[in-house]
Amino acid sequence: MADHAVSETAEPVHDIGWFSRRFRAVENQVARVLFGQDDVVRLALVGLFAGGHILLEGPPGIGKTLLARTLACTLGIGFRRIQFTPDLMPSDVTGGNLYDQRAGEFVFRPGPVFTQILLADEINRAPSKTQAALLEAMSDRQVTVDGTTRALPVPFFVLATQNPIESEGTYPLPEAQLDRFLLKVLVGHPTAAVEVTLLEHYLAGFDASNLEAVGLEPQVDTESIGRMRAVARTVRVDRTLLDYIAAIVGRTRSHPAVDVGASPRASIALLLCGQVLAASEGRTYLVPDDVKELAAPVLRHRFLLQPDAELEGTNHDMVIRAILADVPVPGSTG
Amino acid sequence: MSALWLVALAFGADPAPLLDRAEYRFCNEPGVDRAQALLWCDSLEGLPDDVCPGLRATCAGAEGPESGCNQGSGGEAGSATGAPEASQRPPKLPDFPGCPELGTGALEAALKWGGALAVAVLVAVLLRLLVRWMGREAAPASDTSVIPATEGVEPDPEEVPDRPSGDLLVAARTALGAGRGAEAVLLARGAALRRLAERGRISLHRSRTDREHVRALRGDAALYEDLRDVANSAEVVRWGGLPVDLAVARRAVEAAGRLVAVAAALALLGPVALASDRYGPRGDAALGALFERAGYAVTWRTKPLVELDETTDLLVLDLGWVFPGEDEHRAIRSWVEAGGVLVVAGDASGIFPELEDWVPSGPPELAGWTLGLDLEAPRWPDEPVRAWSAGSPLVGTDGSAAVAEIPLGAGVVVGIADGALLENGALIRPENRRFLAELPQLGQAVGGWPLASPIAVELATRAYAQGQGSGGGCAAADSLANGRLLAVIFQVLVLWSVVAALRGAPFAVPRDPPPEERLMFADHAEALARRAWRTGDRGWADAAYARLWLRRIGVAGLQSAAARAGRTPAEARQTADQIERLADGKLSDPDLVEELWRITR
Repeated sequence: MADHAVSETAEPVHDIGWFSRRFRAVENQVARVLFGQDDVVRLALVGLFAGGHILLEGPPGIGKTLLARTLACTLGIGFRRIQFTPDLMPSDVTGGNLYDQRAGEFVFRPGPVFTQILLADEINRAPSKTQAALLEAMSDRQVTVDGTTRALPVPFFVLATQNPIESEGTYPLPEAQLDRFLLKVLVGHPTAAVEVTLLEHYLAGFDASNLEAVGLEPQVDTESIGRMRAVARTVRVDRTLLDYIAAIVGRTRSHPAVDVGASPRASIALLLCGQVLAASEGRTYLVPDDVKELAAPVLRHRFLLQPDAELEGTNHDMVIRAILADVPVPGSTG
Repeated sequence: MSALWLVALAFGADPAPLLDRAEYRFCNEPGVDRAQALLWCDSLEGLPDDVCPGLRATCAGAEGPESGCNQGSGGEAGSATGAPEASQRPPKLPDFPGCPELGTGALEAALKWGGALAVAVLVAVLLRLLVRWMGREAAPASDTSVIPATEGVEPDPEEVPDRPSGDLLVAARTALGAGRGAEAVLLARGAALRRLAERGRISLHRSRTDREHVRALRGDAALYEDLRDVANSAEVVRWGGLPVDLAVARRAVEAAGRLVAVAAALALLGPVALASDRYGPRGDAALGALFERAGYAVTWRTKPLVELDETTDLLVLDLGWVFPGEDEHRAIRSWVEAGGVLVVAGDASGIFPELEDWVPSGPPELAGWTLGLDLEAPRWPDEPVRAWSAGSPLVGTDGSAAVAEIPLGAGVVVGIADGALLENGALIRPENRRFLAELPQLGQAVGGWPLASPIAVELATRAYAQGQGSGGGCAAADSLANGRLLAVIFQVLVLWSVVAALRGAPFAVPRDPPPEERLMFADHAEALARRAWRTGDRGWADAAYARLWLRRIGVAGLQSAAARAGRTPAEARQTADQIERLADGKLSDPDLVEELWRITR
């Protein structure tokens, strides 16, 4: 286990190779606890190292909370969870000023948002006002209460979840606010083989509520995360790939099945995530395949479909696939 | 017969196991097609010992001849070792159109292709003679100004250069020789992709990346490694902007060279190999036989997929062998939406995104409307390697679908994620035969597939791929016919025959085209003679006419001409002497001029 631990002195050179090794080390640690969700873990880490937040969409009981807790353990940073409910107030998220009778003054009591990894469970169960409080914190990395602005810890990473099945009594996130999430990742049920493996681990004594027993060790720390983010930004991006990204995002604005296309924020997200993905594979340069792989999680929550198209059964991923099948890849021919 | 067979199927019996036919040598002879056959050993599990004795022996490690050609003992000559007696065999089934029953294996294939090559050489020789005879032969090769292959080839990083792959490879080698590693790598990449596209192994499209091309060749070890090396090197140059070591560039160019050579060899040998393998473990012959026995009207598709229309009821498309292009994608989709039923095997997400992802799979089990039926889940060699993440499962695997059904417009798409189910090897298993044989009927009756009765099944599987690769059939003539080249060749031959009948070629001695100066001289002499005739200077005209023929064929030629015209040798000699004197102006004799005209006709 010791060889997995953070060892900055052993790896003084913070280059792409170092990034890739650290990334894989975190992945491997999480995979010890979370089975069969490799893609989700990978995308979550891409989002984290790209400096964004992740929206996980999937049914309950598939390990979303476990993912957040495991990430917190493996990254060696703080973790809090908020269960969003219809009566949740903004101050329940951000915290508020309470009157201290002994001191005779108002004292700020930080809310759960003051952490580094925040699991916002079932974010669409809370009213828009509460959602907005969190989303403002997500975008500005700070909270303002009673005129006083307080910075959030660094890194600040939100894993929000929503259930795609039950829509009654929910408050769907407005498109403008969805745009604040870097990636929207669809999480499905594990396969039967994975589920059997999971059961075998439980038979062997695994307890999801006691991660310490698994022996997870931090693979990076706050400082390393900052360095990794900086290293990822050094990944070379050819000029033609910028055109490619812009063409993909631009096509969402002209596609006949799309009502409102993705914003330039989507292009930026695609670029940043692509850099992290390339670095995670030990590459110093971005390739078109990175962009294609990330197009769906980056774009699927950032554009609105035409009602007619939705009625015909078209979904966001189908539109993205059609766009990817049409936009010319630089360096290719047809 | 088919109804009886279906009844027999319904009771779990299998009256005529398909692979007992002697053509399926892998099933009946030990050691045949060993490499492929070993993949199907698991299929024998639980089956009686008399099922596929050859494969059983192969799996048990019995030695036998390794053969890439599996049809060698077919037909009447095919009472091969281990094959059941002819009386026990089922009646002969229609085969892929134009493919005769082959009985002598490699010899016949060699003769067939030898014959085809001989015809090609003969046509080429005749064309050359025709061109020579018509005096339109191109200037000698030494006079041709050869454009260097590398001229004008600039490595355009924006796309695969639109040049012949051979030229690109030469350019890559030139760049490598000049020490321009990056340029060499890019050109090598262009050469490799171009050649693979020329040979139909990949489909160049503006939205496809090099990595996707590499993934498309994953099942082809002869090409995959080399293309991956080339693509990786090109990636470093193109996207990394990094300098390339000459050794790396050399490896990339060498890999591209191998790809160009291998792709060319596959194009030449592929059709033979593919044709011979249709009865092998990975062949598709048994699928046609299966549907035929099940009572469907089975045909093998020979027309291009873009011509799909309402005459096709149910199409079986194996994407493991057939690689439709974008136009074909659209045609297939439109055809389904118009009411066609498509059974598509392999990664069809490019055509039907509704199937969503092609994901790793688990053990198969019946699902959907097949659940309540007296069917067993089909078995793949190990497990289906892939499954669909969407669509209504007919055979499910851990939450995904090994066989998925999606309604599309007025039609239905049935996706079989792992196409191995359609191969001969899979049809060793009775449950697989039952599943495939009953699927169309049950789909019509239970699943509501829009199929007429009797169900017409058209197969675009391996045989169709052979048709694409070789022009359309197992024999060279069929290939030409299906490639629509036979008519052209017939037209050329008929044209040649007509011209030969009129002009005597090729039996006449080909005449050399007259040199320019001789033509000019003749024109000049004729012009002078006409002027002399008009002015009444008959003597001068006669002398000019005689000089013309003396210059043309000489005295000896005149003697020969006179002899051919029936004169005796003495008369011929005398005539030649007189013509010589006429040319010198020492003689004036209108009869001699008449004689000269007669003997030179």
